[in-house]
Amino acid sequence: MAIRILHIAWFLLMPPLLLGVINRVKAWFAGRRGQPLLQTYWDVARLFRKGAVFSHTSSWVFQIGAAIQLAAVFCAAIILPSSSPVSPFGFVGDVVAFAYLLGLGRIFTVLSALDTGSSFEGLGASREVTIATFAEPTLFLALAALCIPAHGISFGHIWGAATGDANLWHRAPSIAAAISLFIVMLAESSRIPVDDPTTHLELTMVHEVMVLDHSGPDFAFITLGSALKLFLMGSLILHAILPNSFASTGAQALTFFVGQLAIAACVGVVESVIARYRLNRVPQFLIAAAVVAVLAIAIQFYRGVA
Amino acid sequence: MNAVSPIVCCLLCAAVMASSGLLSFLFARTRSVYLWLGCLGGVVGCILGAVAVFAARLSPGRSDLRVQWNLPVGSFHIGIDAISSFFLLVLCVVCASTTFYTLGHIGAQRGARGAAHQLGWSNLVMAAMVMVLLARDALLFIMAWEVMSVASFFLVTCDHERDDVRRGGYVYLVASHIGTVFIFLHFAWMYRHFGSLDLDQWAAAQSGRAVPSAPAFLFALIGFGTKAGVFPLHFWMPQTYCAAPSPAAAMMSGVLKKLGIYGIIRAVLCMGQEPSWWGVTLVGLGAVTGIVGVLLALSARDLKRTLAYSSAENIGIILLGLGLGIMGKSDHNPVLAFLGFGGALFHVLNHALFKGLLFEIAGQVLLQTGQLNMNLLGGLLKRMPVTGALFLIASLAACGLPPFNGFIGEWLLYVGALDGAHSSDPHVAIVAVLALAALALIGSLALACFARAFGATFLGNPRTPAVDRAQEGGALLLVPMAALAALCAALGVFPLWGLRLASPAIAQLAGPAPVPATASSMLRSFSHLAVALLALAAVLLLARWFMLRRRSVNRAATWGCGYIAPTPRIQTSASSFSYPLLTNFNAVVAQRANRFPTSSVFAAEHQQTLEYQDIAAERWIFPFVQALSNFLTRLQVLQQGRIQLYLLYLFGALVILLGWQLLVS
Repeated sequence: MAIRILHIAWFLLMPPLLLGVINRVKAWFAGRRGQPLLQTYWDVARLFRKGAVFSHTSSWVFQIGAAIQLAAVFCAAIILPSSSPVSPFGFVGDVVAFAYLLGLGRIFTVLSALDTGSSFEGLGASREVTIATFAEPTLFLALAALCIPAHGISFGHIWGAATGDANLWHRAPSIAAAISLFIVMLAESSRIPVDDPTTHLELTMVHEVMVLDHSGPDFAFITLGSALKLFLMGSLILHAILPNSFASTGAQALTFFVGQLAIAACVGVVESVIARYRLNRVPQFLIAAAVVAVLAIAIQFYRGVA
Repeated sequence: MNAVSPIVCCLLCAAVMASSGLLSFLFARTRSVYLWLGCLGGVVGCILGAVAVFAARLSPGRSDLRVQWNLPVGSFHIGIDAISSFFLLVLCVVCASTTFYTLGHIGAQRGARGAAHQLGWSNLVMAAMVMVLLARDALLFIMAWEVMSVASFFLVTCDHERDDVRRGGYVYLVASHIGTVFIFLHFAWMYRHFGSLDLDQWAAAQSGRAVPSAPAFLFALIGFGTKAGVFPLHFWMPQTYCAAPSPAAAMMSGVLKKLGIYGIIRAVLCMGQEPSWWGVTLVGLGAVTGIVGVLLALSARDLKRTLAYSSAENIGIILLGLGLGIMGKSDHNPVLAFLGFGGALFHVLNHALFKGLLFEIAGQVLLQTGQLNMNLLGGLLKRMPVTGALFLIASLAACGLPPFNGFIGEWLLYVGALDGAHSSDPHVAIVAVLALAALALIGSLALACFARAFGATFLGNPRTPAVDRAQEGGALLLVPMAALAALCAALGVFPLWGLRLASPAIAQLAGPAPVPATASSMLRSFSHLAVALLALAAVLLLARWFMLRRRSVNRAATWGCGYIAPTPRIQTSASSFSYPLLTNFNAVVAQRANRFPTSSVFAAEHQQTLEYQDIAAERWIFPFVQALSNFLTRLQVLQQGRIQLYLLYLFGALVILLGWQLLVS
């Protein structure tokens, strides 16, 4: 029971902190002090206290879109393990359910954008599905690379079986899969170099412009959803890299916490150092990530682990 | 229930459908008579078929009926086994809904004579499909198949005054018969090998032997694949589905295409021990069909064309599942076999349900607005709220998103592919990983396709005045559509019911191993997850309502970044939605944009056309057919139209044959 509460507490409380860390790292690179680390929590609380403005054009699809998106991402968070290697709610085949729940969230954001009848939001929606077309197969290939040595098709199997071998040649597939997952994380949570989360102008219109019309509690749901997606992909990367053998639950939780902050800091560094790619280079970027994942699978087949 | 013989029930079902169809022709003048006779006959036939399916489940094992007939070969041999009864169930559920829908659809239209014929041919097609599913003799199978093809041709060309309808029907007839020729070749090959035309004898003789024949498999694949719409034989689909009336398109896409899959399954079963290259071929074909199908669906402007191409995508997924199952059987991996065949059969049922629903709604849209071009629609959700909600449910099911039924079939295939990746045989493992990547690509493209279809048609502002006269349909139209949507939701949230329905058929395909316990526990856990998802969504919506209740909620114009004169035409259209995506797939769907050069420095208007080309159809099939037609036109010199010349031909042929007989004997 305590494990279940801890698991739910992780993804309810931690994700907005990651956004704060990313913003602070970007500010440090820019020579500024930056917003407080807990700013996103205050933002979400403020948005919950506000009213809303809806467009004349939008219908009930817009009204339910943000809530269903958050519900879908919450369900994906329930089945993904957090600090412990096995989620208390996992089951066989939950890797696929995870990816498709994120897809459910995505389609409702896209439909809410199309519902406003705005050319900006429609453009953002079409770019979002273009990027997702290349990000999803990459995600599946990376998950397959992690599943193959585990002889099981559940997150619990993958990370229950990880031994944390020190030999780099044995760890290479996991590290390659982690690199691939990092690139997918940049695409899924709409970070540079795929999208710019700070503007919604034409050049960087993907996610930010899709949620242009959302206000009040709806925008709070959207913010929580994207922070949660960042947390979930960071979880995946940590579980791919970190060994499973820890002294106690406390040490494991602490490593998980520090690891998530480290990944958020990496995202902040990437955002400060690279500029956003031209839109026709983003599919090439994602296909490169897919090739890295295929490399991970090929290494395992070659070694005969399967 | 035990007293009811399933065979008699099935025969009664076919008889009721056929007779109600024929009676509709007879009473074509009196509208109320043919309408109620035809529709009630169809629905009663479907109910009888469903009764037969459940009776067959209660008395397990095969039940069949064999009667000698006057033809020189074969016999009237019909039987119902697990696979036949599964496909019969799919047929009955979807056809009941489409027949019911036809009642409301015709009732809402003017024009009497075409409607009677539509009902008549529709019921005849249904009866022929039942006979195809029951046939255990190759000659009976071909006869029923031909009746089905010809009757469906007449069904497609009901509205034959229109040019495009005639063209679509003609293409369908030609494609159908190309398929029939190959099916005939397949049966002829098997007859030569076995000396009998009985499908059961083929299956019994082959079981345990490892000598299957490659040409028979390829003939069956091409023949049945033409009916199913496998790449590159999918060229007939868009024209045919756009030409056919919407209830007919719903039935054809939901059930008729599945008979192609049924044929492939039956052919594979009859040939016993399948080598693994058959599985690899099916996986490859399935992946290509799926990807090409969904890319073409993204390029189509017409709503029915999009749905037709999306059917090709789903047939690709089904073939992928069949391929994985065959690979599992040849690799002696019962889990992979179960998951592959299970996913394929689940997807047969799920696709029939949501595609039937999608075509019925497209028919409603056409009826209310007179328009199917998605670039000219928009904003229909406010005028047709229930229909729009049903289209949303069907789209979510078609994308394979939880908690609807489309997810279950694809999920079994994914898990099967991941299991196959653990195999010790490297070929199986590599093909499994490729199948996984293909499924993921198809899934994400399908999400784009249906977000586009729903968004362009129902959301946003109306782009033309055609939308203004749209109204919600009556209860007679909404009830069959809502029934299909409810089934989609129920099979998604409670997939164990689907497993119970499909498990005898999966057992017949995958071998007698029992249902892996992991499959049932997987589906049960997913049930819990689906319920949790719905509950969470409800809680969040309630919290949102609670928060907004006491705050100020206003309505304003959509934020346009300060642009002061927005029109409905500046919103994203269907073509512009898919343009960035299709630019990346130019090798598959050739994109041609003609930008006419601007005339002056301060140009007042600019023109641009954008068209997409189906590479398989436009560059391979149609040029080949055109070249063949040109060659055959040269042979027209033989047809002078004078009877003296024809009598001379007959005399010449007789002389040659008699001379041959004399020389040979």
